[in-house]
Amino acid sequence: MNYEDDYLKKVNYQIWKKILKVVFKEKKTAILLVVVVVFTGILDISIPLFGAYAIDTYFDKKIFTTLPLYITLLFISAFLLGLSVWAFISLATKIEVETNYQLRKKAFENLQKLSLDYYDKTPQGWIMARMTSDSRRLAEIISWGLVDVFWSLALMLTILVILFIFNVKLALIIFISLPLMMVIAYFFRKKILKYFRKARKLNSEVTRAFNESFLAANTSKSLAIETRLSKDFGSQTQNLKEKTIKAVVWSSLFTPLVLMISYLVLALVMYQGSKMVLNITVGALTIGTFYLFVDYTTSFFNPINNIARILAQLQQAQAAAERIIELIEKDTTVKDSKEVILKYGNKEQPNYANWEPIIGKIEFLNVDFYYQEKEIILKNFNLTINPGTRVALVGPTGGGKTSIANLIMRFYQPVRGKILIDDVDYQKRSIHWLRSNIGYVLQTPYLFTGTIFDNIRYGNLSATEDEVKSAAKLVGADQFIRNLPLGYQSEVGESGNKLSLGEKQLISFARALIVNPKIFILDEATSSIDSAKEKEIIFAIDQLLKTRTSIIIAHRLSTIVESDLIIYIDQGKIIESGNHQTLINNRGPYFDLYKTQFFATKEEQLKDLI
Amino acid sequence: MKKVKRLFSFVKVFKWLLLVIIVLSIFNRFTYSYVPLFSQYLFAFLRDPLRETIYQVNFPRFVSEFLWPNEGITTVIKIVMMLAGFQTVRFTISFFETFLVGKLSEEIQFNLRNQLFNHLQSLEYSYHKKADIGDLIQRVTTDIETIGFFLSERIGEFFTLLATIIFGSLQLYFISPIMLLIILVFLPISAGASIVYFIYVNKSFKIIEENEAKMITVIQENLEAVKVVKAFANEKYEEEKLEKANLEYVSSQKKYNKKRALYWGSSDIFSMLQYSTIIIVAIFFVRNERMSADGLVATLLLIGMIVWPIRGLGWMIGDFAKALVSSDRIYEILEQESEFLENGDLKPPLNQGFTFKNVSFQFKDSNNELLKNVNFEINEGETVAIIGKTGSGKSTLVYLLLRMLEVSSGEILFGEVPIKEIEKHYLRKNIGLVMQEPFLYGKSIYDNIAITNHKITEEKVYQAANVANLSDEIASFKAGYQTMVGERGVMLSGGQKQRIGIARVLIEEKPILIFDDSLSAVDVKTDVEIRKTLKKDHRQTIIIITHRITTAKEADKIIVLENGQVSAIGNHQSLKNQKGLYQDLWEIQGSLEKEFLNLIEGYQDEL
Repeated sequence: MNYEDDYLKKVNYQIWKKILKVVFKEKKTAILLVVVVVFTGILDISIPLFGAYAIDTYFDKKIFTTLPLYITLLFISAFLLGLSVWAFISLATKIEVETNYQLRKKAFENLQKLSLDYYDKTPQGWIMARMTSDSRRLAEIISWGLVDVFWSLALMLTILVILFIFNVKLALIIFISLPLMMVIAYFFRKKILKYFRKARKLNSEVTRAFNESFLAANTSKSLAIETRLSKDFGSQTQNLKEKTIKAVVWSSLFTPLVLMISYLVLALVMYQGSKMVLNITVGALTIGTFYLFVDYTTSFFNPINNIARILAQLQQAQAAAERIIELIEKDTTVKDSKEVILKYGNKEQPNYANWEPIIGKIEFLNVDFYYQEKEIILKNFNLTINPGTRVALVGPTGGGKTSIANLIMRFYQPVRGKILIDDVDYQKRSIHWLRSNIGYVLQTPYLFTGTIFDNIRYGNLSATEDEVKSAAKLVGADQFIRNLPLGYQSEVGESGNKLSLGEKQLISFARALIVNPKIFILDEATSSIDSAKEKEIIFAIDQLLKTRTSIIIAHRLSTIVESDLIIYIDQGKIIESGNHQTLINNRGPYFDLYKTQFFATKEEQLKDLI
Repeated sequence: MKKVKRLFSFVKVFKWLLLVIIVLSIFNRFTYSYVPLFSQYLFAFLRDPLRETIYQVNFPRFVSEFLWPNEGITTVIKIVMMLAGFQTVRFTISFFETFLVGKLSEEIQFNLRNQLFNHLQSLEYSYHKKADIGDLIQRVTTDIETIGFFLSERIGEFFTLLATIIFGSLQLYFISPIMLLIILVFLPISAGASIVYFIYVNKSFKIIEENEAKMITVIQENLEAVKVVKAFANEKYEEEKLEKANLEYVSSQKKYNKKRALYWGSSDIFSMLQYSTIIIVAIFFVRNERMSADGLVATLLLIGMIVWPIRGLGWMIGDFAKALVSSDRIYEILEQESEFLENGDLKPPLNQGFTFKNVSFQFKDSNNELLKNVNFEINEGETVAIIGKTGSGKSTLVYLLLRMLEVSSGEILFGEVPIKEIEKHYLRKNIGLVMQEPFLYGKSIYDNIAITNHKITEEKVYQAANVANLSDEIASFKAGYQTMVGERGVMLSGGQKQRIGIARVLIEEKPILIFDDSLSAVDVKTDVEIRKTLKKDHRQTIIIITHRITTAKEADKIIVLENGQVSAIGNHQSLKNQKGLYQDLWEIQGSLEKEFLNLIEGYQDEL
């Protein structure tokens, strides 16, 4: 993704149409906003008219009959102006806030539909940026852009109309200078945007360098390379400074230049106007009208700055729009077919009546699977797991263990071949049905901000308080939870960071248990937890796996040894399978694994011992 | 006051630049107050054939004289040309003003960035150990920007505002003192309202930010735990969760926006009231012949100059407060003392072994003695293992040796030279330390290995990689030695990182090498190989810190650390026959092997 080129993009109406469709649920607000903004623009313009009228009528002609009406109108327009400013700020911010809200909502809803292959390919930071800064920027440009563009247009048009009514010749002078101004303004805006983007990029490099220096502080000290790092950093900041100053040059040139031109036009207007007043040229001009021209000439060019800015920003925002639309429209690869939805219902309205009870038999039939075509994970893979058995998957990382779990969960689907649950191809049943019947515990126990109670209940949102507590009791988490000052209502902190790893794990067990599933998938944690918790966790695992079909990606010796079936997988193939005794006697790869594991475990235990 | 002084000290180096900016911005406003006079003069000239009102135009004398005698279109041309010329000069100056403001801001930030980077690098080990990196990043980015922005742009704007009001008022005074009076009545009200509004806005922003953070947390957790969400089929629940947070965020924004619309709407009415009052008063004046139309023209133009900018006063004061806070946060860092303030200046050869004499250590802010009265001697060329459990003080010992920590009592001698008299950089350059988790810089593998000396020959780098058993793996990467590592590069395993850390200290010959538990993620085979290669050079002193008894076994000298104290010194032969921790460990190791054999035997028997 090359953000550098964002500003060069051609306008893509398709994208904007889509964005507007998302946004303008509130067509009324938008139309009202445009009306108010145009009204404000016209009001802004009418203020100098008061001055002009006063000069002509009261100062020159000294006729005061209209004075009361004049004063009344003056106050009314003051009030109206305030009112319209209040109105357009209210409306524009409403659109801004709602757009931002809608974009985030839509994108998030689609994210919930997307399957895991999308998350594999897309960095989390990228998605976060779309959901925060991109959506904010879009909302801003849509709402305030609307204000600026219409206000500017209304202002310029009204000025032109009034001027043409009062004096065609003078108006023409102003009108002719318009295109020149537009070209210059647009050219500058683009340049400025381009340079500031460059500078911003360098700025984030500098931030990254700072971050690295903090992380590396003590390593750098021990290597005594501070001077060299300072020199590198110095050249980075120097570069940032130079590029920023370059951007500053362009942006400082811009305003004076636009003003300069508008004053040149003003000088011309003054010259021509004076000639008319002095009756040197044809065309009469009152002093009042002349004042109007002087005032209007300078205010006529102000909006150009706005329009140029909006145009430049629109191009920039288009990239943001494209990315958000992509997020909203992205189609998922794992989904239920129409027939399945018809029978089993969708996530919003599951048709529980048609859901078959599950027994827990799992079968892989000639399954091929890969994440990327170049790296095949499983090739013609066959495996049958009978109901109620405990299966341990072992073998080197990257051998395909996690992929098997992912396939059973239907996070991914086989590229070729079938997976049968209770002898039926699982693609013939709904994803919701499948996942509601499988308990899954991940290696890293992710918790959500909220209370412990909420986190356990996450497994089954309709669980009662008693069910939550008994699940906690069953995995042996009840004790530590009740020792907390707020018990089950204790906050776990962001991602559960107020709890220890072992505690988080226990809660994630309880969360899986409350589903009361027929099939259990457990990805055991690799790093050992505080040894005090170790026993509790082994106990908890036993509770989880009782009477269920279970598939464990196993790391702990005790878990492996006690499984009904151990499957050694490497490079997507089953190398060996059988129970512990048979495999030990085989003296194959399992034996080696067991040996290393044995000593590693003991060594870990030794570490605490000494 | 001290705080204000401190804030402004950042601009001290550039005081002349700042002065130029202030002078330019005052000059800009001063000249700007004359711009409406051109219109006034022109209108007076056009309206009044007797040229009486022209004398009321407050032009400097030489201008009036230049424009005189007033004859038809020539005067108009003179006025118009003068205006164009005048503005050209003004805009040129205003370009320089804006440019210099930007430059000043950038220069201040540039200096601060470099100063902070260097200072932070010089802060002691314990500071970095405790530092909250997120907070530090905030300080070196946002706080620096806030200060740079305030000291350049805001200061410039402040003087601009001041000059606008002063010069605008002056011009207005010449046209009509009463008009000035009217404006001066309105002015404080606008300023006050602006300040009150700013205080309110600031509060609202905090609430909005908090709500936004909550919403972001929901999204972030959802992305992180996507598998959990899907496994429990809780997508709908997640949507509801976001909806709630999203709505809360929206409602806090809406609340602020209501006030925002109200403020700007009413302040517009207020400004318009001033405008209207001026016109009406002027009309009544003209009845009494106390004011002319051209006077009104200039007045209206001048009012525009004064009335609108005052509304920004609140923001200025707010930014001042923010800049003060930022400068405090920066000073918190700068006031930390650099570890190099206390440094020796000797550079003795370090290949004569070293001695710990009654060394004790504890952190200044703790009562817990990490090392107690430690004594030992290490000779040139020895391989020494230090064994002990986590928290026994092994790593503390290493950091004392590199003088990244200071002994609390006792002393460390290199040969005869006390460590306090040795130059710190020299000391660290000559001791190769491989940490347990070495940090890899966001550079290529090659640059990471050659990090201490980027002028070293390629051959040496390859050789070091070879010894660290890295060559094959590096060859398997697409970009080989140019593969990027670190944050934006490939993910390396713990063992690979450690081995790069090892290669890093091997590129140059160092009298002392320390492996701080850094062979732990390397498998036993590699561990042995690396140590074998190192052994070839007998002049190097090698310290291996470990909890692996098999690693310690090979050493010439073994030091056993328990609870910060040396409990035994010897070699494998002597220690294994001596009651104590080492013997215990050795026996456990032996019994383990037996246990394993029994275990397999057992199964075979069962068959």
